Order: sequence, then structure tokens, then C-alpha cells
Amino acid sequence: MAKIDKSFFRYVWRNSRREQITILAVVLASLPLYFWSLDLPKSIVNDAIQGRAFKNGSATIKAFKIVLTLPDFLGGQSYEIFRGLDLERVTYLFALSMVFFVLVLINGGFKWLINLQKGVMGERMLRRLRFDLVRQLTWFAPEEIRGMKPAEAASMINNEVEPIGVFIGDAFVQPAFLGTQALTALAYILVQSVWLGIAAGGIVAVQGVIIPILRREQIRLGKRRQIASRQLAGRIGEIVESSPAIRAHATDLYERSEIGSRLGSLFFIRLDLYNRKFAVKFLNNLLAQLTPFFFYTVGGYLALKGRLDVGQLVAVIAAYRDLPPPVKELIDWDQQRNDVTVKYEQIIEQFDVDQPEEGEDLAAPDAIEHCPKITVDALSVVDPHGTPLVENVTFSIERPGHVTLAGPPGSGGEIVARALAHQITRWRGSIRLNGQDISRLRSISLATVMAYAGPEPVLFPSTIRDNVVYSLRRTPPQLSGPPLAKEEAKRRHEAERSGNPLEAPGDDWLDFAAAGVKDAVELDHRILELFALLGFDDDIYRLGLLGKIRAGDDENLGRQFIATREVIRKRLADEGKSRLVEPFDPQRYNSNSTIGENLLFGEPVGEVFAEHNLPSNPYVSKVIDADGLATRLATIGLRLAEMMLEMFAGVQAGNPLYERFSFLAAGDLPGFQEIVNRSRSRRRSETSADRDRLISLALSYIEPRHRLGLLDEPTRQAIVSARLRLREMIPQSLASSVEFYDPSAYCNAAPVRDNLLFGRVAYGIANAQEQVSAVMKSALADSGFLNTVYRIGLDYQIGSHGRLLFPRQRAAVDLARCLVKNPTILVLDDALRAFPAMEAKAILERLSDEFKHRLLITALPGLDDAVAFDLKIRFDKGRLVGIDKGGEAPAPTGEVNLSARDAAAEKRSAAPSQEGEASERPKPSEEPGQGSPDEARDDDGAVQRQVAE
Amino acid sequence: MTIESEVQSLRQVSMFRDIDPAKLKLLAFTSDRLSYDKGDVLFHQHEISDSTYVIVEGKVEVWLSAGQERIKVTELGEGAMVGEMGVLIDQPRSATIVAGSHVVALKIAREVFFDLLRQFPQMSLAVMRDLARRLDATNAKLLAVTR
Repeated sequence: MAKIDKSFFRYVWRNSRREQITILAVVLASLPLYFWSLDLPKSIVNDAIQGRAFKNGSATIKAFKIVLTLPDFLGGQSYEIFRGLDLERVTYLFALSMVFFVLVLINGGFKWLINLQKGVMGERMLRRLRFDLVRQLTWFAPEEIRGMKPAEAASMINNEVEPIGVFIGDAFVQPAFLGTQALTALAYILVQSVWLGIAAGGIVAVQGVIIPILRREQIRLGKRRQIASRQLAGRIGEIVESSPAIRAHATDLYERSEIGSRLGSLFFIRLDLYNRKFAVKFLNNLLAQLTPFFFYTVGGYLALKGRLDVGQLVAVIAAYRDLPPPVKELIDWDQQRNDVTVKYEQIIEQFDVDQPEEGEDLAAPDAIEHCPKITVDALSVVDPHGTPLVENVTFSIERPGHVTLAGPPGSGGEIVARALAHQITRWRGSIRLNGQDISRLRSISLATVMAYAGPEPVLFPSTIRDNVVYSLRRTPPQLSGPPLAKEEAKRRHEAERSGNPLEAPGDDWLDFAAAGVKDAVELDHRILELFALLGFDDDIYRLGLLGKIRAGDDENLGRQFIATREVIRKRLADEGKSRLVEPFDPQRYNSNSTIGENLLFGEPVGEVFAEHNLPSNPYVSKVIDADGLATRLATIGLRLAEMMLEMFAGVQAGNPLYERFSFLAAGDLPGFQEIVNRSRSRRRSETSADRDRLISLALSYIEPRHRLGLLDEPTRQAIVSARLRLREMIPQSLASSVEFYDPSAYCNAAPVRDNLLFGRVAYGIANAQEQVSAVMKSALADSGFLNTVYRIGLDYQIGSHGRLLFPRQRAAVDLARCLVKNPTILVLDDALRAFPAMEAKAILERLSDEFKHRLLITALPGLDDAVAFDLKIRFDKGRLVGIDKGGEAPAPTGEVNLSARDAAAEKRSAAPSQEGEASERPKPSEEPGQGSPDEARDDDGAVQRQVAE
Repeated sequence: MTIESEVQSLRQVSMFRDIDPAKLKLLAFTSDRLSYDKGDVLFHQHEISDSTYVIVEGKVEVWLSAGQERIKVTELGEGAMVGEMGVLIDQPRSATIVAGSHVVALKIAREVFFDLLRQFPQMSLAVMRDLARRLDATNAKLLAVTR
């Protein structure tokens, strides 16, 4: 694969030669007919209208006789091919006109064909060019690509290339087509009259010389505009990315003024462009109008003098009509050519990178499997400013096990780790893997044996599963052989013609063998095993419970879920824990749900019935108005508002207490104070807006949780009866906006968890959530549903950059991605920073065990002494200061150096205390994972159960 | 069993005796009211101190464990506050608390506890006073032992 040609025309010609030639052939084929169509008006005027063909007095002539006369050297005989038709004068006129009409049609047809071919070719080339640019993007070394702004690169490949693609179709065909057409027309005029020909040629020449000169400035401005607008795109991208900083420092005004001034300079460039453009247009029009003036005066004069006949004059004028448009378009073409080649060269320059050398395959992958050896010799790395990061590091790793690159943050271990994993490519010295220089290995070879997890996981906006199995998408799948479906054949044909890969991403890229599994189901199990290793399996389980699936559409699956629901309920009853869950019952108020949930008794689909929209929804307000429920709810809301105002009096705005507990935001307090005042003044000035706000407040109230004593039995009854009416009378148009709870059906709109419990966990009972979770989990396990829930968890969409996950969950996904491909060598570069110290240590222990017979290389600030190692390479200030072997060195203390961890993780919030040594934390000898609040709670539940028994 | 009754219980906590009822209401409102059966564990020794508890109803036992041994140190009744020391100095739990009967407790999350202290100086003062009183008691005991 060669890199993209620097010359635009060479690139186009090289990649579309065959198509260009075909179209050029069509252009040439069209010319004789075109010439004939120019000549025909002359015959119509002279022979038919003026009757020159009938001069000798005959009433008919032989028209369209075709005689083939051989040249003299072949004997000079004549063969009559078509005898011709006997036609009268009027008929002859009509016949000639018909021929002219047919020629017009044929010429039009040619134009259509040529334009179509041009367009298709342009699109193919555009596809190829974009693909080539993206391909070159992947060739950049990691150091180079960091300097590139993502938005600018995207703008180049996506938008700026577009006009180039359009022009590619025209690159060769347009000048050939228009040029030959113009030359044909000019030649025709010359044949008719030399003088007129010279005049026409002269004016065309003026057009062709002066206008491009005027346009040169236009091109220069165009270039400036392109650069300015690309920078604008880059800046907009930056604004999006830095929005948290903008918000935090309230620099939006500054940012806006910056954008404003950029838009301003863009405007002035465009203004200059317009001025030029219309000047050129004016000149063009003037020249176009000037020529007919010449023709009428000079041509008319020649006709009067008898040096030109009328037919010729008409034909010349008609031919001339065809002359300026091609010339104008040719000038346009030339300008575009200028423009596009500059643009093209600029873009190509940005992507100027040589394809990395093909590289060697691993000589003996099996040997690495059995005994990975790494030799680092005189390794030095400098940062872009020339500051040395590591200097002259030499060591070797001879056998499998756990190698730790130890030292305080920034001491060089992490740099060495990155170099080993080829995340840094600019270094001096050498790194050899079983004797082979790793910088010369093919990247796929290296990726097969080695995995690297860094401090900032790179995640894609897709499901958890997709993100994990990403590392298994290395080799293209086998293409299915013929016979192919028509669509597929077409897809492949086009891909081939534009130099794109034939495999589609939808094809099965997953390398099951690398993961050591047979199929997708086994792969899921493997992923879950890995997540268990990383302490992420509970999260997956929880995400699975929160997941929404359309089990209701599958009768069988829905029934199974409902059966499981019964199992859970029975088990809770058997264990005497029924009081932990209050089931949904259409006829009863569920006191552990909000008033709003009780009213709707269903899951809103979309926004129409979302809780905050309920009071203002006309249908809902009609239902709750009917028996005075609205008034009751407004009263509850009013009491709630009063209590909030009383309790939060004196709590400053911005205090997190509001966010956590209040029904209202600090900013709403004054508004509610007014509402409360209005209602106290008994002037009945309560507006419907007031009422909606109060009802809205009431809807989120849960008695056992908030314990304000605001709900009485009649109100509960009224809510239940309103719930029944709401469901019965719902208009057709709203029916799809809510899915009501039905004890006998799976609710697609509700999460799996709600469907399994079909109720709410009771407030106020210690550890209720944990106990219910445990019962639910064991019931799911027994009914064979646990894996289903886990697999639903794997379907969780993690959002852009994994923003919907917590940092430690993101890190776990990234680590699982590394592990799933079963690498022989795993390099961890501060990859555990997102985990709490104890959890990080536990994970490291498990990984170290997992890699006992493989090679685990870690540079984890703060965890140097956390677990046993086979080799410890100590760094300080970029230099290697010592190597300890597992046996010789003092045994690791198992301590986690929190201050080192914190220093390494600048982003994390400060540690609780400066002297935060491990001794303050739960003893490391305790069960792993106790350090995390989540798990501590789980443990609570476990002990709770033991004590109860 | 509304917040009003909880406010009554809170007033029995020596620490909160002098605090404005509206503030006690806020304290009650921002905490979780949890019920425990006899034998349930409120929290374990060595766990992270993520909350403090005020006993509203029933009594709890304080257990210490060292190695294999477990000793019951004392029992606390209504109005007692447990777990606040660990929260204040960010230390793991120093003892295990087990419900000695049916227990109702208010659980105040660590952050909420700090927010309240920050927001209301009289609450901070109350906590300080209580701690000083305990220190004084400990000093007295120490003196008694050394004599």
C-alpha cells in the first residue's frame, strides 16, 4: 500500500485510469455528430428555406443519398449504399429539421452519459481518498498523533475533501469534453469564415487570459478562508471538550469573544472574495455580449457583400452560441483545478506519513509463550522538549513471573513500561523480545502476545461487551465465497473499485480462538470470569438488573421472568423476609413508592408521563380533579413546602444538603415562600401554576422514607381509585406513552430488577436492599437466570468515552479487554489508579497469580511493595538504581503507599490525610475488597445473615 | 412514627440537648430511620466509618475483638450516639455494634454529618463539648487506675 501521491493529477490518474479513458472515448465519439449538428442549420437555411437545392427547377430532390466512394488508389469506384428519398421542398425542410432535432437529442444523451460517468467516478475516488487518509492516520506514530486536533482531522477528511471528490470527476474529462467542443465550434466558424473565426478566437483568448489573472487573488483568499475555517472547527471542538473548565471558571464570555473575532476575520475574507467574484462575473458577461455585436455587424456586412451566405451566418451565430459557455466552464475548471490542487496538497501534507515498515513476524511465538525474554539495552527516552525521561536503562527479564518497575511517580518506570508496550516509539537504545527488536515487529504480531493497559482507558460509545471484545478484532474474517446475494456482490464490487477493504465490520471479526472459546456464549462467560477477577462482576450484575429488555415481546421469556418473580417471592416468604418487599398491587397503595408512581402505576415511555410532567398533563389533571384528589395533593405539597422552608431556613444555598434531601433546589425556596404566603393569606389567589408546582412537589413524597406524616388513608384510597380511572379512560393517542404494571405480564419499559421484584424494597429496615439482593441472586442462580442477567449487564451502553461508568468500572473494562485475548505479556502502566487502594492490591494479587507462568510487568505507583514479585527493577529520577530478585530481596510488606498513589493520580481528589499510610486503613490481611465502601456493605449483609441464623 | 417523635429522641442525646428543634428536625430528616432485630449488626470493627448512629429505641451492645477473643464492653440505650469518633477522625470502626433488642436507629451519613456541623456552629460546639466531656471522663478513669 503506497502512500497518497503528492500530486493531485497523478493520484487521480493512477487510481481511475480505466474509467477516465472510457469516458474520454465517449467524448471523442460524440464529436462528429456534434460537428454535423453545427453544420445542419446551414443546410436548413440555404437548401431548404432559400431553396438552393431546388434551383434547377425540379420539384423534388434526392435527399439523404449515401454514396461510398473509394479513394483513387483503390479503384475509385462508387457504391450507392442508400438510394435516398425523393422529397419536396417543404417536406425536405421538415426532414432536415427532424434530423436536427434527433441530433440535439443524441448530443443531450451523450452529455447525460458523460456527466453520469463523471459523477460515479468522482464518488468512487472520493471514497478512496477518504479511506486512504484514514489509513494514513493509523500510520502515525503515537507521539505524532497526539499533536493532531481530532476536530481538525475530522473536518479535513470529512468536509474539505468533499469538493476535491466532486472535482476528481472533472479532472480530465471536463477539459477534454469542453475543450474539444469549443475547438470544434471554433473550427467550424473558421471553415465558414476566416475573419469571423479570428474575431471569435480573439475574444475567447482575451477571456482566457485576463480572467484567470483576476482570479489569482481570489484563489489566494480562498486558501486563507480554508485555513481560517479549519481552525474555527478546531476551536469549536476545543470548546466542546473543555466545557467543564469553561463552566468552572466562567470563561464563556472570553470564549465567545474569541470565537466572535474568528468569525469576524472569516467574514472579511469572504467579503473580499465576493468583491472579486462579482468583478470577474461582470467582465465575463460583458465579453459574452460583445461577440454577437461583432457577428451581426461584421458578419452582416460580409453577407451583404456576398462573401458569406445567409445560411453560413446563421450557422456561425448558432455555433458561436456554443462557444463561450465551454470557455467559461474551462476557466472555471482551471480555477477549481488551482483551488483543489492547493487544497489537496495542503491536506496531504497534514497526513504526510510513511507507511510503517511492514515489519517482521514473531519468529517463534511458541517460544515466547513458554519463556518470554525481554532485553532492554541502553534505553533512553526524551520528551518533546528534549528533557530526558529515562536515561541509559539496561536490564533483562529472563523468565516468566511478575516484574515490577518500581519507584516514585515520574521516576521512569512508567516510561519504560510504555516503551516495552510500544506506546512510545521514539527512543534510543534497543528493546528485544526473545531476540527480536520490538520496534521492527509487525504491530499485529506484538498485539497478539502483548497487552497494555494505561492510566486512561480508551473506550468507545458502545456496550460493555463490545468494548471488551475489541481486542479480538485483529484479523479480517474469511470472506464468504460465491454465490453472493446481489446486494453483497454489488457492495464488494464497489469496495474493490475504490480500494476499500472487502470485509464489512458486521462480518464476524471476533477471534474466538484467541480468547480460548468456541462461540459468543462462551465468550460472554469468559468475560464474566475476567470481570470476577477484576471485582467488577457485581457491577455487571447490578447493571444487568437496571437493564431494560423487551422480554415482554417474547412470550416464553416473559413467562420465565414472571415465574422467577414467583420463586423470589416464595423464597423471601420462606426466609421470613416478606416484609422486606412491598409488592405492586393494582388495588393497593404501595407505601414505599412515590405518590406519583402510585398514581401512574406504570412505567412512562418517553416524557409525556414522566413524573415531573404529570401535574401539567391535561389528561392527568382531568382525572385527579374529578374527585378532589388534586386538592388533597396540593395540600400535601403545601405542607411539604412549609416543612422544607422551616427545616432549611438558614442553610446556605449551594450546601449539598439541598441536593441530597430537599424536595426543592435552593433557588426554588423564595418561589415556594411566595406560594406559601399566598395560600396563607386566604385571598384565594392561588393560581393553577401554583397548584401544579405544589402537586409536583407532593408526587415525589414517600411516607416511610421522608416520615413527615402527610398521607392519610382516604388520600391513599383516592390515589388508588384515580390510578384505576387513569388506566381505564386513557385515550388512544396517549396509550403508547405509558406501560401500566400488570402482575401477569413483563413490563418492557421497566428495568429487569423491577420486573423481578414487582414491588419496592421497604424503607426503614436495616440492610433490606442487601438482603433482598442476596435472595434475588440465589433465586436467579437456581432458576438458571443469573447468567441472563449478567449478559444483559454486558449489553449496557457506556456512553461516549465510557462516561456512564465510574472510573474504576472504566478501568475494569479496559483491563478485561487486555486479558480476554490471553496475552503472554501484560503491561500495566498505572492502570489500577481508579481503584481504591485495597481493591487495587487485591486485583494485582489475582493478576499476579493468573500470570504466574506468563509475564506481568507493572509500573503501579504506590503498589511497588503491595504484592510478591519475581523481579523488581527500581528507578529513580529516570535512572535504573537497582534490581532485586524475588528470593533475595526483603519480602514485600504488602503495604500500599497511599501518598505515592495520590501523587500519581493528580486527578483524584486529595487523600484523607497527609500521613495516610496503609496502617490507617483496614488491615491488608483482611478479606480483599473490604477497603471499598460498596463491598463493606455487602459484607455487612453476609454477616447479618450469619448472625440471624 | 414520624419525624416529630424522632426529634424527641434526638433531644435526649446529650450532644443535641441545646439545639434548636427546627435543626433537629433537619437532622432527623436527613438521616435514615432503620430498624434492627435483636442480633443484627449495625457495623463491624475495622470497617470504614461511613456514618454515625443515634439509638432511638432499644439497646445495643458494644463488642471488641482482639485476635480470636471477643469481649462485650458495654451496652448503650436510647439517646446514645455511636460511631461518630471514627467519622470525625476518619478511622475505621473501633468496635462492633450489635442490636441487643429490637432497635430503631437514625443513621446519619458521614458527609451529611459534616455538612450539618459545617452549617450549624452550635452543633459543632455540642459535639466538641461531648467529646471534651468524654475525654474528661477517660482522664478520671486513668487517674483512678494509676493511683
